[in-house]
Amino acid sequence: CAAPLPVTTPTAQDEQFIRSGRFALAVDNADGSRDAVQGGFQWQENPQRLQLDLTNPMGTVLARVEASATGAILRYPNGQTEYATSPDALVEQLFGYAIPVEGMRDWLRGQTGSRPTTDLALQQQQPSYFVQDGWRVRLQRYDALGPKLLQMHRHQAQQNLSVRIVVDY
Amino acid sequence: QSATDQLRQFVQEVRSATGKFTQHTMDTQGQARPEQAGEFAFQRPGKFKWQVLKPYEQLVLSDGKQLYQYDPDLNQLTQRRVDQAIGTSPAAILFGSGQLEQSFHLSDRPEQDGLLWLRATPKSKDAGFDYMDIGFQAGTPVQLVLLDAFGQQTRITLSQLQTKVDLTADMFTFTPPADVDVVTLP
Repeated sequence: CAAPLPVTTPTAQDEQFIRSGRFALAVDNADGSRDAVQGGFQWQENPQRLQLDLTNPMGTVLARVEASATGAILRYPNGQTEYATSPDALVEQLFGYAIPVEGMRDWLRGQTGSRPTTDLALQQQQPSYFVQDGWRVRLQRYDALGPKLLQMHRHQAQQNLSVRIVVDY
Repeated sequence: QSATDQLRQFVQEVRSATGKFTQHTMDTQGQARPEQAGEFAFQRPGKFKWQVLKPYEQLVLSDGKQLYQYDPDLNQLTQRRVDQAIGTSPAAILFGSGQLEQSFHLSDRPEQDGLLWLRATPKSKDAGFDYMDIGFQAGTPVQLVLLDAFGQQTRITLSQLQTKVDLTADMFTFTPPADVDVVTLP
């Protein structure tokens, strides 16, 4: 597996992109069964490294995803770790559903990034709706850093996935 | 009376209570999150309500059988059976009534800020947090300090604790607004 990631302390403060808030994931399966996950998140990113903490309402970190050029690592509170090439693959291991963490690097900043994008709609020159990699993404409540409400829906053969993210600060 | 004795007495004698809380989390770089404030209530065995009111609304509620988690901004209410995981959660230390010392090791700590402290360390390594310190004053828990496995510290201050309350059932029942997505989990 990948060599353990060097734990680098974040560089200059201004290169940090930090967003914290809450997320709700809801899944509708073709057979009518449903699943859901609700929790908090802390997104800390600098040019070298992304750290995504997933927390419960009491603020306790339930899992930490660290991603850098060399790959991604998932840390559990009991010390167990898992490796993967991308954070998306790790979050899928954690929740069982593919969440577009890579895409969110741009979407949280109100950008569409370099991936193929269709049906782009803008409001005040800022992306408000677009489709990427099968995800229908709606971005609203912009502040200086980006949208504070993100909604993502993806329809696959057997499953409807929806993610709602509220950024608190 | 030591903090551990005060906790044992509190768990034994205080069958139900209501109160207010403030809560803030500090990460390892000392970056504090905005403070949260809200109300709580509990009734042994197994019923508790943790309602965050500021800066946003969020409810965690257990009626002893089902655990509800509701967030109006997220427009979602999840409902799942209360399982043993509750027994090892921080809430269980104060609100639970199972054999506290089966799930936690209790040890007295030095007095600080005018409070008598104890440390509750979960016996299971899958509890998801390292320990919870509780500061007591005259038999009442006043401060909680929760250290999670990633070095984050959550400090909770309890106030206006009312213990002579008889709580009606509807304190621990919840019906969401009509348009909320309700997901019942196995």
